[in-house]
Amino acid sequence: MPGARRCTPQVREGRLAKANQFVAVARDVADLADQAKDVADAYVTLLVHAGIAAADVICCARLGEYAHGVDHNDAIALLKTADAAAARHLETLLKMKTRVGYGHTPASQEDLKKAQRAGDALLKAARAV
Amino acid sequence: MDLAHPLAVVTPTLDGDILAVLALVDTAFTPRQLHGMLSQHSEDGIRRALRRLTSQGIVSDARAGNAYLYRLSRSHLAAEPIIELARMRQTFLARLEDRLGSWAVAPVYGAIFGSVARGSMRIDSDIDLLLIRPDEGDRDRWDDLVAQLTADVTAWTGNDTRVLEFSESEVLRSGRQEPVLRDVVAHGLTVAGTADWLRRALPAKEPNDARS
Repeated sequence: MPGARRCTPQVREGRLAKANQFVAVARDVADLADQAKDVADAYVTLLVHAGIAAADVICCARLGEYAHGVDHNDAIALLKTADAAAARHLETLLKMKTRVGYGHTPASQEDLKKAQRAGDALLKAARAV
Repeated sequence: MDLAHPLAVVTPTLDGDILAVLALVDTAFTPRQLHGMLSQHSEDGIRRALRRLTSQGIVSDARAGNAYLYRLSRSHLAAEPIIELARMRQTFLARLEDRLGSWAVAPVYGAIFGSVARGSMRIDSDIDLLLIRPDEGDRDRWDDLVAQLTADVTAWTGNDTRVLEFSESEVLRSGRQEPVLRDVVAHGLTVAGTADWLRRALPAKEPNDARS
């Protein structure tokens, strides 16, 4: 795919480590907050980054390449060829990315739950490939 | 067996590794792309194996410019069993999840760790399984379930199964001092409960650390 970059074992390992790190820090952020809504945007943003890294791991394992510097639709399309269920979770996360990261309205409780579900599923799939 | 090379159970050759890649995604690869994924084999060897597999009809080829693209021929009679074999790692984890989910004394948490989780498994590797036992529940029944599962996992795979067991209260009391539990948090493949339970049970710092 245009814009996709060839994967090496180091890339795969590094992206998995980052996925783990983003999820762990997301949970720490949530645990340290008095109320989940106070940190909802940071939490969801970290899960979005975790999901993107996990998607790269799945693409590396299945296709030998990963999306790099391509737009969201291309990243989802590439992941879809490797794992259709994982691609749906990535789509869920990427839909939230711009609004949560750059918008002014706070992430909702529903966003939080959806991001957590999608992030967990992508990380689980990335570890299992 | 080696879950990283699932087709080695029927053919310990490059052909098996190529089929395992082609079976898991319905997409076409050039020999160079396959070489990038199977770098322990030469590109020439991969081309020869692809020709063998194409002559059997299980792999189809198509010309794209100067290159040839290869993919699994999914209508071939052998495609379905090959896909099943290629999915052995996923099947193993799903079977384990189902089994643990059916236990009368449900584990608080369970995960595969070690070489299977890290993707460095070899044919004679042990299968390492962490199980966190609930503090309540019939202990004799639990021991029977663990013994049966240990024997079954070995029968499913041909590998020795090593169960590492802690009680829920042991983990909450002193799990932070167990490096193996940190390894499970970082790399484990959860098969019972949620990874979040174990992570929360092992805070990165003692409460006082934050002030130091």
